[in-house]
Amino acid sequence: MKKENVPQDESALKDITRELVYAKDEKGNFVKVLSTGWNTKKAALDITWENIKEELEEAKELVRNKKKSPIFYWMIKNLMDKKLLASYVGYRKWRVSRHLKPRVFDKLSDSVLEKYASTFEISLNELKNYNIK
Amino acid sequence: MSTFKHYQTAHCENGVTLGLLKNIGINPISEPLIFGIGSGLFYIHVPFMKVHGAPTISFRSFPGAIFKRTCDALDIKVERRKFSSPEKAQRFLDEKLRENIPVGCQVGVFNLSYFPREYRFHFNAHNLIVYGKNGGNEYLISDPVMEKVTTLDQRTLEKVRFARGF
Repeated sequence: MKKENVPQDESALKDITRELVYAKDEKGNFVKVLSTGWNTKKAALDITWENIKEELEEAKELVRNKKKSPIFYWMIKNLMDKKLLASYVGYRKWRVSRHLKPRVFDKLSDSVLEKYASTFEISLNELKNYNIK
Repeated sequence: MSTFKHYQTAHCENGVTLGLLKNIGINPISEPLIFGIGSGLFYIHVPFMKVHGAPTISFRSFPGAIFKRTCDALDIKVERRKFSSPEKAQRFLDEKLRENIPVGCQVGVFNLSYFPREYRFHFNAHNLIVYGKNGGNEYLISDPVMEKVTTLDQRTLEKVRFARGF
């Protein structure tokens, strides 16, 4: 690719940084070029975030309907799955699965909830009483 | 004050290798040269290792391989440490920074505060260089994919160094 053809599209990099790519100059030598972004890359990233948003909406619904505990909502919000969350809080996956059940969640002690709250970087109160809209 | 010079590259591990080598006076060296002698080009498709429902695909060799192969080829000794204790990791880092030795770190990007939000996933094979400390709490960061140097506070740096998952 010639350096003048390097995509300079608007992307999430805006006002933060530009990425470095290699392209050819007039003489055919590779040179470094800074790019503001590429629409194709942006489209792929946008799809991923659309999916995450949908997943989060579903999670809210499940928590509101008492099918899942609030931990489930925060897990999805933090782009985690059960395995990853388990490694952050230091419990086995099956225990985390149990904590995702509203009835189990309601009986959890503050010390257990605190582990989740600090993983999600929220307060204990937010985890217990957050009003998921 | 540190005399560390920041170099931007296309790929983070090439960049950390380049930054660390250049700053100890290894010249001439460039990102393409490191990528070549470090045998960076690779392909793997891991269908059972999923990230957001998508199978893992990598076009680069495993984390640390480019750095290791490049330094082996140049006959440069690399000191690599792994820590299970965040306190020990920080103490070692602080000690090296006091000796004015820049330190390459493998980190997760989810909590990397200077990255665009849209880029921050639970991906733990990113690399950066810590080249100094500002006051008590702020670390000076040379992240090779960034145009300019950045900073991370102590807590954030600890979080990215001790990110969980693969």
